Amino acid sequence: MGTTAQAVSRAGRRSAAHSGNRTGAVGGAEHSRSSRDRRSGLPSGSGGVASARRALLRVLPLTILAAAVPLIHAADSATGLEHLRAGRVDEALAQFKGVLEGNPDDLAALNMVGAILCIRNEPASSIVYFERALRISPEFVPARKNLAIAQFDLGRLQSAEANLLELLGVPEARMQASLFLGMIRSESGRHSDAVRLLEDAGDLIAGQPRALIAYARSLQQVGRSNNAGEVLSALQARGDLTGPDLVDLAQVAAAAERYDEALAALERAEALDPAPEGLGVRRIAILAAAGQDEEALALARMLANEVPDRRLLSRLAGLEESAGNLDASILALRRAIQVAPENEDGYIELSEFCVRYRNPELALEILDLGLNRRPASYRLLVQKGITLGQGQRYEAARKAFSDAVGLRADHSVALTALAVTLIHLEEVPEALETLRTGTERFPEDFYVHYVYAFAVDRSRAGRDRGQEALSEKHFRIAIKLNDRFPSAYYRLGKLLAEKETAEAIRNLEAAVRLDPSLTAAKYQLGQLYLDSGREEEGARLMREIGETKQRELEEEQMPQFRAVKAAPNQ
Amino acid sequence: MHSSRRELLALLAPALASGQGVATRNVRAQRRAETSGRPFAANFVDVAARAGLRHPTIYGPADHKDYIVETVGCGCAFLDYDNDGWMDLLVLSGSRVAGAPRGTSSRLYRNNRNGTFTDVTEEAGLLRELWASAVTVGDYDNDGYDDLFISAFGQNVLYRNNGDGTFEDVTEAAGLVDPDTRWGAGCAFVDYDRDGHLDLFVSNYCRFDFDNVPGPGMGTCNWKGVPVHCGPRGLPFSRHSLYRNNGDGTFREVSDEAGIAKARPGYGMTVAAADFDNDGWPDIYVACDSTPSLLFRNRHDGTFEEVGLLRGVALNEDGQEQAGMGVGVADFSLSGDLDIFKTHFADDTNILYVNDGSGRFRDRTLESGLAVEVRYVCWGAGIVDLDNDGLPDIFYATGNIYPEIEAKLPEYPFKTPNVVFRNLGGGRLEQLLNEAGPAMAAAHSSRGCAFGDFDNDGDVDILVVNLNEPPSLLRNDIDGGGNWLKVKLVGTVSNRSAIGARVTCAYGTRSQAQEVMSQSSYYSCNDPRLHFGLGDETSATLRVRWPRGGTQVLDDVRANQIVTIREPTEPDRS
Repeated sequence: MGTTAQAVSRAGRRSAAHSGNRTGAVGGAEHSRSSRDRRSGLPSGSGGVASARRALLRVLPLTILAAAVPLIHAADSATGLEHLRAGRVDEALAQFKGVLEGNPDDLAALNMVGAILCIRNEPASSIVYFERALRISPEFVPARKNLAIAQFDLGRLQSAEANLLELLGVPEARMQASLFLGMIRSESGRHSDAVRLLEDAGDLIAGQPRALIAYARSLQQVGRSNNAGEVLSALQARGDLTGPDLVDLAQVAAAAERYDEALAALERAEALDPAPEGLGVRRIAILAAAGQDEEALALARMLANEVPDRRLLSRLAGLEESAGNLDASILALRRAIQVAPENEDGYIELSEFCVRYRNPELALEILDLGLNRRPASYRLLVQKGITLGQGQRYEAARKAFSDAVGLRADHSVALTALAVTLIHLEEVPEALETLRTGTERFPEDFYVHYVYAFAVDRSRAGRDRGQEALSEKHFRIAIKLNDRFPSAYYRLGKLLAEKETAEAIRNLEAAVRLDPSLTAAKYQLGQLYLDSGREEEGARLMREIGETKQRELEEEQMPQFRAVKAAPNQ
Repeated sequence: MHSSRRELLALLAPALASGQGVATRNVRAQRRAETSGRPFAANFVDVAARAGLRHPTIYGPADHKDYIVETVGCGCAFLDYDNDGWMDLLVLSGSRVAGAPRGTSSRLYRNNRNGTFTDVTEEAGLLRELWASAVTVGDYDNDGYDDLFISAFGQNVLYRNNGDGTFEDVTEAAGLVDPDTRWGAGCAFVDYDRDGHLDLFVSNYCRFDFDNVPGPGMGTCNWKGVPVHCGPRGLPFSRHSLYRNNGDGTFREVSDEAGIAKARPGYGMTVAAADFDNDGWPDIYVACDSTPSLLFRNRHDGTFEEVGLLRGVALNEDGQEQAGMGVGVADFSLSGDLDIFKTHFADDTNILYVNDGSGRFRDRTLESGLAVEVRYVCWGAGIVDLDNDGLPDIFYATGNIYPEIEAKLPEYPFKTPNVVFRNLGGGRLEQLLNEAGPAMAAAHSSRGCAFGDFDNDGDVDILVVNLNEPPSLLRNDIDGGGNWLKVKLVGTVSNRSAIGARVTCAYGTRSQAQEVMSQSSYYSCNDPRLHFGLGDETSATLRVRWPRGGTQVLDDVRANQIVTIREPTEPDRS
């Protein structure tokens, strides 16, 4: 068990012993190694605001005193801090605002006003003050830390990430930055990075349930299931988990196939007052994941009759479909739209159902119904484009994607889809240029880099070294940004197959490890093993491929032929 | 948006077609490089009508297909059945479920030596209505006259050449009658045990029963949303067969003991028997439709080991099956080894497997430039030097299998043109869109094709089977092309047809290997005289490796002639 996991365990036991004392991050910070590590800024967590406020009251004085900038109005600041310790938040705010009236550029006061606004659950307002402080002094670490945390709380993860990346280079802020950045990485699927960062956060993680949940999630994803299990067990023992924490915990436990623990976490959440919403749907999802389909379906039907909400009806539709009750499934999907006609998911799910059962025209009609309701829906336009593209109606798909791009300049899927459509329309130079600019607009989006690399590779006219190098570069970037995407490893491995065999093999092995069903990677890897004298390994892979192909062929046999075995001479 | 990203990936990445049971990757064509601008000396003109090739190949109805058996069509052959030194033509034919027109039959055309042919089918004893698939030509009884084996849906037929212009059906006498209805597909005479007698390999496509197969549009039987006939995937597969020649005019099935029956099941099509690993023993490659293709490696002891996956010729570079139909075998890369070109379905590339010399192959499709053309369903094919510049080119015939599609999806016409890629050297090919003559653009629903020199003018002509139409006879009128050499081999110790003999021709700085084969392309058999374009070279050195192991070297052979080489009775250099 790593150091961090040990710390987690200790924190878990302490938390269980003090289950009535929800100290959140501060509890963890008390046990950190040095005083400077207690400058943890605002504790995070969408559900941890109350505990975050309490934590801030313990932490802020240290943050302020550690500021390098001398305090001009030390007396006023002390009064303000006194108000805060006494819980007189409004008075504290007024005090620090008063300081700013006298000196609008007072960094410490700007930081305090922002922090107090966060305590009052006004993170959007707080950002204004943090940014003002940073405009005056970009090196003012406390403001940057608090800004990053506020952005994190608001879900502005890209902006938070940018600030946290800067803070990684500041020794006194590194551990906190690692903590929050680790959580962001975990939520964006960059699990190897997430694990590394959260471990770099040291003991800070132990005081942050949300960080621990992220840690468990990412440990599971990188294959460290045992460690993930230890963290989950420690979390289960904590008494300071909020409703949203418990819901997240249930999700991570379910992903780790620890279904009993997942259900137990949901039960604890249900016992809270107020309980988080949507627990019924989550319970159904966990039952289904655990293979208890009948129970899941029965529960879903019961709840849908009692309190039909869109998510529940969507889940019910899925379960009915799996059980072969297609009519009931359609009915549930239609009801989902009726109860939430403004919600895009309803239209998307029903249209996907139609595509699955080979009625793309109806799928498009449903999407158009949604667009009538929500003409500026990016998601509906993208879905429409994809449905049209699947039917090879590329001109119409191009229009849909172009409209979507016009709506959301900050989202990459429509742009990438547009480029793919342009390729199908044989407007390759425009497609490549679209993707190239996409990589500049979304430098951290692994998928854009992957699609660009793929398109460059496929559009080569024969052996073009320049384009090969460009393709290779962007496959590598895609992998750096998401080290769990098997297709990127496969494509890079294939590109390198003849010039850097050893590295090609490593990439293909990674692809196969991540997705053992990726036959293309397995085949390419098998060929390279055979080429490089690893006959046994190559032959084994080829045998597996052959067996898979045979199984698929047998499964596709029309029912009337399945019982017929070839006679000796047939 | 994760599910959208998955769907987006599916739009971009190649995938097996959904719906109908034919494998195709739904890929886009590769971007074309700039044209070389080099002139192409070969010019093809369709002279079939004036040559007297008038009978259509009947194969199911012309405007719709209810069953897969009506679509796959058949092959053709160049053969010199009367040993007069001029190539005659055999064009196979099928039938119709509702009854074929009177006189429907495969046709044998005797070469009149003046650019015309006479239909001698009836006098030759070949008039017969049959769902014929493929033909292989070889002298199985070593009497000096080439015999015919025709595979079919129903019963295969072995015709022994009587030497007097007639053939006799000796299927039963030879022990080749099958007690059950089978669907014979590709077939090849091959002396797999090197005993001097031609044995016989027959691939089988699938087990088909009109009463048991669903009709068009049932279940998943649709293509891009249009109801079409079912198959092949979903239909029951069949085994392939190897028959050993007993040396007395009879055959014995040895599929089990030879290891052929152990192979993974698939939908077998064209058979190409040749020495792919250069060990002096013939191997057998079977192009399979929508299932991994097979390569049976000869173990020299009467048995075979199936090594298609290990040798890199079963699947494409993405590890996927393709709709393997036709096979061209020749030394495309001028490395002294035999490479394989295989044809596939629309929205997919054909594939070029280049031999590394040890019998392992790499997919060089993208690097070669072949992937610029993905529009057609492709069938008969050959790697042949069409302009005599010393570099083997690629030709293939095309034609869709779903006549019903055209009305709904006009971008997939039923009748489509022939395709030529010229060899630029260095492993690169360039598609010729207009440069090879008017006959290339003519649209038919073609299937098999065979390559040979019917007018003995030193180039390669092409015979093409067209469904429900007369064949095309593409006469090559080379203008200013290079020198050439044709090599006719006669076995003495080895089988009389010299099937399996390897000739390596060295001309200038180049060297090219070819092998006498009894089937390639799609279900077809080429002129057994090996054709070498020599470019500007005026002579060549020929090295012959006979099927039973003897070798011969002929130095300084003058260009522009047909050379007949008889196998020495004692292995020597002469």
